[in-house]
This record gives sequence, C-alpha cells and structure tokens, in this order.
Amino acid sequence: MGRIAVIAVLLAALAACAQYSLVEAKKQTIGGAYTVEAQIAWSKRSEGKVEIWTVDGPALEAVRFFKGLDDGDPLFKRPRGSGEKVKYPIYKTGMTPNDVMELTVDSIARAGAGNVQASKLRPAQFGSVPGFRFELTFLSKSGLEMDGLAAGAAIEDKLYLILYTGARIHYYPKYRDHVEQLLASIETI
Amino acid sequence: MSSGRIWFALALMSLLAAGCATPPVVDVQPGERPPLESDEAGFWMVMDRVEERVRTSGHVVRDERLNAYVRDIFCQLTLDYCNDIRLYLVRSAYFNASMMANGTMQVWTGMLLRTQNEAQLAAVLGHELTHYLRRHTLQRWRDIRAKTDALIFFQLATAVAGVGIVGTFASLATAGSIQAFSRDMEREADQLGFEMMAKAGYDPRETPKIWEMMIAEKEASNRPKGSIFFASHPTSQERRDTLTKMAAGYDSDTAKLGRERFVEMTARYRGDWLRDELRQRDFGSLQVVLDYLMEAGANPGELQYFQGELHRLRGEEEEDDEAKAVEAYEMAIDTGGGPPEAHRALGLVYWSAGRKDEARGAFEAYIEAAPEADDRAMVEYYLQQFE
Repeated sequence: MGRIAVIAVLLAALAACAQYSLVEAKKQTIGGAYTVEAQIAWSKRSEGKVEIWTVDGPALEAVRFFKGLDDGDPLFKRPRGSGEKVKYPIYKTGMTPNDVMELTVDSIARAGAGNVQASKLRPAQFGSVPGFRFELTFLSKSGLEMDGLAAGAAIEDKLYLILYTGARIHYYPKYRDHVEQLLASIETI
Repeated sequence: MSSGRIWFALALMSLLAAGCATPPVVDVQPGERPPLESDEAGFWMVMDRVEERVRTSGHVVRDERLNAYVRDIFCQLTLDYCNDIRLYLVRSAYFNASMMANGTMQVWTGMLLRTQNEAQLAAVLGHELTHYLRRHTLQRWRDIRAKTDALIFFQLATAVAGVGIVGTFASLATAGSIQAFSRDMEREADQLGFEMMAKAGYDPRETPKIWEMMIAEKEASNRPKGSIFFASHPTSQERRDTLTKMAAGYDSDTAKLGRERFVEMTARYRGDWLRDELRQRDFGSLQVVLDYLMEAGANPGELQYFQGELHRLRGEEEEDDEAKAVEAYEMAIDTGGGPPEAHRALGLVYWSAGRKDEARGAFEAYIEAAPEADDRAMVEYYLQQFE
C-alpha cells in the first residue's frame, strides 16, 4: 500500500512537469488550420490553445502558436491572485490588426514584462489569408532585453497568431531566420 | 481544555511578549557603514547584492535629466545624506517607493505620475529617507526574528501543556503584531518626511493630498483590497487625517509648490507612464489619475487622448463608452497637444461602430498628421477596405 502511494505521488509530480516532445524538421500542422515547414528540430509543449516551440528554453527564445482563439479567450493564462474583478485583455471577434497588436502588447505587459513597445504594424499574407505583422521590444520580468515579432490573421472569426520572442543578445537573432522561413512556408488548409 | 492550562499559556505569552521587545536604535550617521562584526553588516551585504540586481535591471530609467531632477529635490531635503542614498527610478505602473537598509531608494514612475508637484514628491522622498535614517528595515527584521523565535518556543510549550490550539492562535497574533510594528514605522516616516519637506521650504499642506488621491483611487479601483490586520502600512485615511492635522499648524503662505517645474520636467514621459497604467486595465483607478493630472495642469490634449483610450478599451462595460471615447478623442484633437494617434483611435472607434465615412476621414487625418507613422501601410490597407 505504501509503495503504491509513493508511485502515485511520483506520477502526480511528473504529470505536473511540462511535457516536451520533439518537432521534427519537416512539415507540421498547426491547429488543423495551416501547415508550416520546420527547417530545424524544435522542442514542443502545449498549454490549452497555445503550442510553444523552443530550442534553448522559453525564457531565452520561443515561438508561440495561438491556435484559433475564440471570442473571450486571453492570450496567456490569467495570473494567479489577480482577483476576478481585475480586467484582463481578451480576444474579441472582429478585432482589427491594431486591436490584436494592442492585445498582444497588453498581455505581455500583464505577464510581468516592462516597457513593451510594438512597431511596424503592416499588412502581410498569412498563407492565403490576408493578415498582418508587427515587431516587439520589451524587458522580461527580470529586466532582460527581449525582441519579438508576430504574424497573424483571423480565420473564420478565430485568431491565429504566431509570436516569436527571444533575448536580444544572441538568442533572438539566432533563430530569427528559421522563424521567417516558418512564416514564409505557411499554407492554410 | 482546562482553564488552568489556558491561564498558563496566556501568562507564558505575556512573558515572551515582554521579552521580545527590540532594543532602541540610533540614527544612521552620514557616511556610516555598519561595523563588519554586526548583524547589520550582514544585512547590508545582502542588500548590496539586491542593489546590484536593481542597478543593472532594464527596468531602471536611465534618463539623466529626469534622474538629476528627482535627485536635486531629494538633496534639498538633506545635504548630509545626499551622497549616501542611491536613487533608482523604476519604470512601473502604480504608486510605490521603497528604501532598503543600505541606502538603495527605488521610486516607481507610477508614483511620479501621481504626484502633482515637487512638494508632494519631496514628502514621499522624505518618508523614504526616514526609513533609512531610523534603520527601519533592520528594526523590522529584528522584530520579526525576536517574535518568531518567541512564537516557536511558545508553540512548543503549549503543545507540551496540551493546549496546542492556543499556539495556532498565537501565530495569528504574532503576524498581526509584526505588521502593527511595521505600521508604527510608517507613521514615523510620514511624520519625519513631513518635517523634512516643510523645513526645505515646501508647502506641507500638499502632503495629505497624496493620500486623498490614494483613497479616491482605492475606492475606484477593481483591485482586491486587503485586511488592515495584515497590512504593513496604516490606512490612507489615517495618514491623510494625521498629516492634515500636522499641516494645520504650519504657516505656509510663502512655501513653495514647484508645480510648473514638475509638470514641465515630467511632461515628456507622461504619455509612456499613462500607457503603463492603461495596460493594467484598472479603469476606475486610471480615471482618478487622469482627473488629478487635469487638476495639476498637465497637457489637456494628451489627457483627453488617454481619456478616450480608457473609454475605448473599457467598451461594453458601460453603455455610453463609445460616445465618450469619440468625444474625448475629438477634444484631444481640437485642444491640440494630443498625439496624432488620437485620429487613428477615433477611426477605429468609428469603424467598429459601422460609421465608415467618419472612420475614413479620421484615418486620412491620421496619415496627414503622421505621414512617417510606422503603421501607415496598415491604415492605408484599412482605407482600401472602404472602397
């Protein structure tokens, strides 16, 4: 009985750990809505409607695929202890690209980042769908300088967004070309 | 549980409470560092390491002009300690300032946004300096250590005596006692900070106004409100009332406010700081801040723009938010001094409301007002959608 309890506790602890799996360097389907061509192997984990790809760890660099957010969905999980009455940025159907950029910036800021700045919002195809792109700079919670880029589109009223962020020194530039290739390879299904 | 055991527990607790009073402290002297063999030196060493992280953090505002300005006000309060305090301006929403035992002072930009003049800022800086002079962090640390040591002993003794439940209540009492001690230090810092700013020639009648605003903001805010029993600071009401009584005793007709200079020196940063607040989406709190800034004489065009942003983002919550957003953006544009983004924001609100002709006009006005805007291509794309 004692051994079973120990094993149960260990299994519960393991279940609580983030589970990563391998993303091979080949065509990958995202959220059943589009495909991308991965040029390198990534590690992947999922959090609800978000798929996170990284090589060196999400604190240093990560590509986040938001796979079809519905009306009322937040980009990131609501922080614990923030109180239910505190308004949290959410996606609303019919948002313009300016609104989505604002949603992204505010969500990153609310997750603890500082001095979040977005720029260069412009139209950009998302596969065969009209979409948008913009750039980001911010300070991580611990004060590390970060850069980012985002590309997205609304498909059948759902928001599909790809957000790449990384430490300005070394990590962001290291994978930027790979991310650009991912974006260029989008094929909507 | 017998009444004899409970009396024993209460008597023991009284003895311990009497025994854990912290020894009196002497003020820090100018240029002083604690002797290496003292517990305070160890405490400073830890603080030095924390300061190193603060110093190199990207969240610190490096702007030399703003840093020199705030430092100048601080040094007017105390020439003796001017070089002992390292002052860091930290880019962060909400009202806050803090002092570490080793002389590291942090002032949040959310606090600078909420002060209306130099007199109010001087009161806050004097408050923080008092924490350093009176070694408040060290006192609090010693108080916590003494009380928690006594608590552990008490809990063991009550458990052995078979009245362990009393030890649990003692934990709560200890937590409350530690916070009560902290509140006393805050009261002392309020008083000495007040005296310092008045001595430096600032109008002491400005100090209760800070707390007046904090009360209004807290009432309007949708953030969770804590219990006073576990609060580290006295209530804003108590602080306002105490400082109002103190200010009544001062003849301050010739005292300075430093309002124009403060508004001018902070003007170029105010838009960024207001944006930081807006991102918190604490609309009640932001409304109070905007009203106070309007009263302080800040750029009305810019404030109207943020008033419009408040209504646009709040949306749906109140029926007339859309109309109020339009009204505020139009005022920002008519008044002048607001950012060109007021045109774009107006266009987005019109578009959302299906008023395409007005949206087109606003987007065209945005491109005309900001031809180099880095989102020009996006706005031109919007215009194409109307064709």
